[in-house]
This record gives sequence, C-alpha cells and structure tokens, in this order.
Amino acid sequence: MIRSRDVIPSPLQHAMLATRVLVALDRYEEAGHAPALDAAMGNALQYLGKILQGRNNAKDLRIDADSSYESALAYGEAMRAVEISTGGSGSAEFLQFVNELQGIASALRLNEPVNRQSVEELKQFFKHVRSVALSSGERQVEKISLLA
Amino acid sequence: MDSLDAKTLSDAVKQKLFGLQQLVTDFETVLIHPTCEQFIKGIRLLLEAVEESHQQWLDELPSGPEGEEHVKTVSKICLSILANIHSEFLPYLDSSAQQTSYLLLPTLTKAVDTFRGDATVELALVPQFEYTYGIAGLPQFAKLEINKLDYTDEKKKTARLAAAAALPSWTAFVSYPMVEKNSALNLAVVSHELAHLVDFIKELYKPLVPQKLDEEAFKKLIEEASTALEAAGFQVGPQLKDRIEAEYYKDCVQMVVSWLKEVIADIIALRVLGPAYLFSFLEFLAHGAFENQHDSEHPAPARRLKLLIDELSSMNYFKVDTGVTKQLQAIKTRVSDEAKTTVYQQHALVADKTLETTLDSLLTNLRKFCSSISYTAERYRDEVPPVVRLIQQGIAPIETCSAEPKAVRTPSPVVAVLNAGWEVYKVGADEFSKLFEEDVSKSQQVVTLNHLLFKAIEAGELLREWQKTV
Repeated sequence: MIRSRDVIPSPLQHAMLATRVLVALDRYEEAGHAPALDAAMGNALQYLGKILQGRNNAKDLRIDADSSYESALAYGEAMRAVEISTGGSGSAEFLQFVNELQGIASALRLNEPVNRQSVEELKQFFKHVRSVALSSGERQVEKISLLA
Repeated sequence: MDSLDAKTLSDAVKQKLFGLQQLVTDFETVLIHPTCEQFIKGIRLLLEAVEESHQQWLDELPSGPEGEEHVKTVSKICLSILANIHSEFLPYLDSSAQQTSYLLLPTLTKAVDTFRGDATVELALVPQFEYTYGIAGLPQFAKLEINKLDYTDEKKKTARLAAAAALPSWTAFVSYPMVEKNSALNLAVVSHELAHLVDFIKELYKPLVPQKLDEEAFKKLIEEASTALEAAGFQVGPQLKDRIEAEYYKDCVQMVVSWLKEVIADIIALRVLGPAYLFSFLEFLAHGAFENQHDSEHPAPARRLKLLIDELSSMNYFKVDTGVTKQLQAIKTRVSDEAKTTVYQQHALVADKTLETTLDSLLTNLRKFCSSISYTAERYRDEVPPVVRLIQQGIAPIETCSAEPKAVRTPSPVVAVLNAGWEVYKVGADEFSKLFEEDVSKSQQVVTLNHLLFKAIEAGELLREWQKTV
C-alpha cells in the first residue's frame, strides 16, 4: 500500500493560488496595474490551462503519469466553480467561460484595458475556486465510537 | 466559518505552530540517535517556513473587510497545513520509537542501496496497529512543500529552500503490523514495500504507464453509471455526463497507475526474494483473512498471485527441483483456478483492460532491471540447502561454508536465510520439531525459528561490515 503524504495537497495549493489572484485583483481595482498582478495573472493562466488540459485528457482518455490526476482534480474543482459562477451550463458553455477567463487574465497581464465587470467575473470565479478547494478536505469535528 | 474572526484564526496559527515545535522536541529526546534525524530537520524547516509565510502575509495584507477576509483564508490554509503535518508526519516519529529489538534497518538500507544510484535515502521502520504493510515515500519533502508555500519575500523562501536541499533526496517509512515485529518469516513481505521505494526512486513505472484508458471498458462504465442515475430519477444531460466522465476518468487513471505500481513492486520483490516473497505474501493474505477482492490500489489477490507464479516459472522454479517444488506446484494449481474465475467490473475492468496493453513490456523491462540479482531456482538450489541444514540443527545460519576444496566460510546471503526459513516452516517443520522437548508448542517452535533467522540476518550483516574493515 502506498500512502500519499502531501501536507500541502493540490486543493490547498489551489486555495493559495486563488487567494493570491484575489489579493492582486483587489489591489488592481484600488491602484491599477502593478508587477504583482503580472505574477498572479501568470499563475491564474497556468491554472486555467490545467483545467483545460484536464478536460481534454478526460475527453480523450489520455493518461500521463505526472499530470493526469492533478489536471483532472483541477477540472473537477473548476466544473463546480463554473457551475456556481454561471448558475449551471453545458459542456460548450464551460469551455467558452474558461476561455473568456483566460482572455481577461491575459489582458490584465499585458496591462490592456479591461472593464470592471470582467474583473469582477474573474474575481467571482476564483472566490468560488477558493471556497470549493477549502471545503474539499474532510475534517471531523469529533469522533465517537461505542462498543455495543 | 464566519463566526471566527481574523485575529482568532491568525492567533490559532501561532499557537498551533508552537505546539507542534514542542512536540517535535519531545520526540527528538525519545528517539534513539540517528533515527529520523534528517526527517526531524525537515519538519522543523517546514514549520519555520509556514510561520514565515503566514507572517509575511499578515504584514502584507491591507486592513479593512477585504483584507480581513484574506487574513482568514491565509490563516485557514496555514492551519490546514499544520493539521496535515500533525496527522501525517508526527505519527511516524511516534512509531519510530517502537522498534523491534533486532537490527533490521542496516539490512533493509543495504537492499535499497543496491538500487538507489545517486539518491540519498533516510529509511525508517514504523510498526503500526493496523494489519497492513505500507510505504510512505517522501521525495525531498521539505523542499517540495516549502516550494508550494506563498512567500511575499522570495529571498527568504530561497534561503529556506537551500537549507531543505541539504536533506536526503528521499525519506521513506516502511510500516508493518506490530504483531509481526518478531516474525522474520512474515516480515519478508516488507520486500514489496522496498520495491515500491526502488520504483519511486528509479521511476520504473513512468515509461510503463499506458497512454490511454481502454475506450470500450470506459464507455461501458459511463453508460452503466448513466443508466443507474436515470433509474434513480436523475436526468442525465450533457453537463451531468461531463461531470461523471471527469470524475470516473480521474478515478480510473489513479487506479491504473496504482495497480501498475503494485504489479511492479510484486515482480521486483519476487525477483529479489524468490519463493520467500510468495510464501510471505500468502501468509499475509491468510493472517489478514483477505478475500479475493481488488481495491482502488491493488488488483485482486488471485490475479497478483497468478503473476507471481508465472514469474517463478520464468525463474525456472517449475523446472529445477528445489526443496519447495511440491509446495509451489500445489499453490500454482489453487491460484490458477481462482485467477480464472476472478472477474472485474466497472472501474476495475477499465484498469485491468488498460494494463493488459502494457503487461508484456512491463515484464520485459523488470526482468532486465533485476537480471543481476534475480533469485533463480538455480541459485536457490545452490545456496539454500546448506542453510536449511544449519537451521535443522538449531544453529543460526550466520555463515555457510562453500564446497570443497576451498571450503571458505562466508556470511549467509539474507535471501538464502529467508528462503531456508520458509522451507523449514513449510516442509521441514517435523524435522525441526525434534530439537524441542515434547511440551514445546508449535507456535513456540516457530518463535525459535524466527529468532534463528533474525540472529543470522543481524550477525551476518555485522560480519559483512567487519570483513570490510580487515
């Protein structure tokens, strides 16, 4: 039996990433473009890329020993986040939505003009990612057993 | 949880950090040096890094409601990390303090050294109360985990990473059931766990991972799941189907890779240990009262046993006559019958069909990898009988004498000792019984047999080390 012993598993990493993105977007809304935004949007684009990779792998049934599980996890999280963000949508809409988010993150990274609503859309998505990721671990408040 | 404010959560991080640091210090005073020495250094580094990262975020984040929200999130993430350190890492320190009285670690470390190449490994044995064996392989765990942490000051992160880079490239914990700590015979199954470690280090599994899941079996799985959901009153539209596909794909991929790693570990353990691995594995299945059922990490036992029997066959165990030939033939018949009737369904069917495509190349690669150390029937025939004779006389087979005219005494190979032990247990128990008074129970006799084996392994290792110095 092999035991995985990540103390910072993928969902926690995704929660950290989402926080970083949200902090950078808050600052952008207050003070405009800053170098920290470039880095955060770079991370956001990587994450969105991983989601699409996970989706493509799942559709083609491809296996990659290094990245299949990670990207499938990101895809699963994102599906829930997109569902909350868009109120539920089909396969084509999912793709369109993630592509749209990629467009917004790229534009912000390149310091191109982005409207307030788009920034809010990106923020909402990462808020949902953070909430889905943070609630993914099972933590028991109490354990009770009774020898009956 | 909105009832908790930012200060409560960030103070909890500080308290928890302090508590964990104290615990590590307590364990350090109990453990016999140098048990887990490097692992402890790694945990300390990780705790310091979490503290640093958390503090940097607190300094960096703005005040106000948005900033408070972020402080809460960052603190919750840190608390989750600390909870994981507490539940995943510290039990190893606790278990490491409960060692068997025999010196086994040098022999196990030496076995790993044969394969490890440039990698550095800190190995520890951890008895546990769950009836199972296991391996936790942590590749540069401190560096890996610190790298995942968010630092606002990259210089500090670089300094921590540099300190972590000085630690062994691998930390590994081999766990075994506490009840078996005095059974050299049963502990032979640990070879499977060490084989996992070799696989991790050498990444043998990587080129053997199939490129795609079996399409037909996966399609069937999705159809069955959709039908079941529809029967339960759900409307399976494209969105739900996408979610099912994504979830099942993730599970199937994980199953394929896990099963592949199990097959690799089985084959390596068998190649290295010969029949002793098969016997100890069967004994493990018996003691655990396992049924022939697969799980998400392991193929069904009968299928695994069938592979082991086939592998023994390729090592000539059904051609060359050895002391255990009859026993192996009897096992072969039973296994063959059960393996034929082992049928997989759903995820397991996908994993099985997918792995079928890679099995031949897997065996070819592993046989090549183990070629110089395979414990073939010919080696068994040459090395085991003199060791069996010593045990039957009640002598710990520390050394064996080569044939005339040289007649050189050398430490008995550990593999020969374990195989001889199993041969005595399986075939020569009556002869061995003659060493004892009538009122000594069979179980007590097995305790003595295990003691002789442990002593031979322990003293043989000391002898080999001593011979290096003269």
